[in-house]
Amino acid sequence: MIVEKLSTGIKRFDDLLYGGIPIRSNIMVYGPPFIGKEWLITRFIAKGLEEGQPSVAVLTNSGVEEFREELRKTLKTERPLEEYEQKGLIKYVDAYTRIIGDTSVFEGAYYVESFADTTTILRMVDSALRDVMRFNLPIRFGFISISTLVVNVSSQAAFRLAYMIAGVVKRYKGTGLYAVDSGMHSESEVSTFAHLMDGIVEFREEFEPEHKTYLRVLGLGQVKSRNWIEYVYNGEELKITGSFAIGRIV
Amino acid sequence: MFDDVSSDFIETKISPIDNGVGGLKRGSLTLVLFDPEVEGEYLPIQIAYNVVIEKKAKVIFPYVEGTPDKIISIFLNITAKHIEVPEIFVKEYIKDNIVVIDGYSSLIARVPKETKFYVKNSTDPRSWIESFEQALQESRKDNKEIVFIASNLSSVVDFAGEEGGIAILKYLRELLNQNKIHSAVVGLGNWPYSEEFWKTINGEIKPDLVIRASRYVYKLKVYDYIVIQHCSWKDVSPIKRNKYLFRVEIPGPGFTIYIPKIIVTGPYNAGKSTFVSTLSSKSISVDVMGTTIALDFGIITVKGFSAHVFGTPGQERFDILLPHLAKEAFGVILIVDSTRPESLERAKEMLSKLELYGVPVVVAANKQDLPEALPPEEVKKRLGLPDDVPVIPTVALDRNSVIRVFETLAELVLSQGGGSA
Repeated sequence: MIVEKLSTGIKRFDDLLYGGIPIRSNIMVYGPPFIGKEWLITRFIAKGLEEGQPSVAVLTNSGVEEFREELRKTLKTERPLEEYEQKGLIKYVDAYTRIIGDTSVFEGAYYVESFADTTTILRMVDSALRDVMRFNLPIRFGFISISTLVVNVSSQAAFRLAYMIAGVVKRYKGTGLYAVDSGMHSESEVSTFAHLMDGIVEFREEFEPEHKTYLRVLGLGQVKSRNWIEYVYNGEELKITGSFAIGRIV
Repeated sequence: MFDDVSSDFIETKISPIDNGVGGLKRGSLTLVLFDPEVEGEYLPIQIAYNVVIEKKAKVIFPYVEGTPDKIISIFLNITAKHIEVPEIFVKEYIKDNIVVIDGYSSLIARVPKETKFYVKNSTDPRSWIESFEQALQESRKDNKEIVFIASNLSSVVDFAGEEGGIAILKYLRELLNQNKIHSAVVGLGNWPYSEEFWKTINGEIKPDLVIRASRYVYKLKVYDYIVIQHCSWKDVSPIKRNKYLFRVEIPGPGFTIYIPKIIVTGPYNAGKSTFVSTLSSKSISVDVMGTTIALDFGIITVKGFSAHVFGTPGQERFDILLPHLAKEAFGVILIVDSTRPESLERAKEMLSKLELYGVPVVVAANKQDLPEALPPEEVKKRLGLPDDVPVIPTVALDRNSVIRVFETLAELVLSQGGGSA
């Protein structure tokens, strides 16, 4: 069977996308911080594991242990995360732990030893993808997040890295989600990077009259709606509450 | 070829570079342009190691990917064989002659301690140049040639910006013009830099020698290679299309030119297995009472080359295996027993059964230590091989003679286009 779309693990989001994210595409997940971007990417990876598909996660704003906690929370099966890890279904590239001086070791993780060495990060992503290539299944790829790299290297350098990684992900027939924070980069950098992507999932929030959050989908082939759609995110779950059905009777 | 001006060249001990363009020319800027996923920065690292260990020059080496200790330990873990410096002095020699400039400590607000030379602010190109000046002044006291080698300028660009990278290259040009250093080698990742950046590199900077490192994937295997793309002092159009495969192994021989498959063949009892095991750093043989019945396999690392060597069994009942073993071989070593002229017919037969056409062949006229051995010229005549097939006298247990055969073959493979399949 040829899988053409990968489920995001969020039912109504899949509906919006006519089944999920087309394989071999790269998607920028863009918006302000703490709004559910990272959760969306984590859930995407968890869903892959549930279906027996391999994943690679690149971490720049948390260590592998922290991320595994998040991943555990988003897994919706009885099976422990360790079971997937033992099979080698998930590989981590941790560009955080060593940099804060932590020397702990988790097998199945690549640790970037030195401070924001973009060449090494790229090589490790390449190795991690090659590790999971042997399953001969669609590979899910998550980058959390491009923006944190800016703490260390210039914004241009961060996007150069993301650009190269997106190419490598495509080469291994992967499907990648890249978190980018709004307000961290110049508009031209974001739009240059957006041009390299096959789509954008954009988040925004409104504070008046009450706090509301919305997302919309740009690119990504056919979708049911391109409008801003309301969703709620409470740190444990992201639920699309707004409506987008075609031909809905108002 | 370059005898008249030999002092103007420093050999890199990387065969395609030395044979292709003579080495590093005085006053030249070499750019090693590598796809970022390919470990191309190890070519400048290996050149630094080789010129130092061959006592050709002192090297100034800025490093930004980690502490000076890290790069020094990389150098110390290269085990390439060399003659100039005895094993026990290597450590000291490297420490004295590779002047590391610490571009890392300032990034993590660490106190630089391993080296006198460090960059005060790695995001400022002027600060880099300041540290180069200091290292240069100190190094010139020794009255040795100085080669400036930066393995990965891209890391500098990440912090000091594209302008920073350009400023450093311009500074190097100036040093070269003023004859303050012998030559410079700079590694640069082929990242998506701005058009302006590449324009300046190709225009104003204009490197004299450009070596490109890239990758291709063939049958799910990854092959990394270098190409000599441009040279200002020699026409490289005849070798421009040659792809020289390479491997990087540290700890180990370091950056080596790689030949994925060499076949060692020859009649029964010619000494193939001995030959393979003498040549190899690691080898296995499947044999019954000293006769190979499956195959020999060896990994060879010699003088900047590495290769996988496959020996074939010599008995006729295994002939059916020959074309399968030989598939996709890059070269053949034919071993003959010089004391048994009657076996030469069989040797010719085996060569043809390999079904390899146009693949370089070198003949090892073995067992030359025995009195009844035919001289190599006689062996060549009786084999009826074309003139350009080298026949080399060997004693399979004598490592030097065996290495000579391998080296001859390796050079032939490279001259025919290296790994370009």
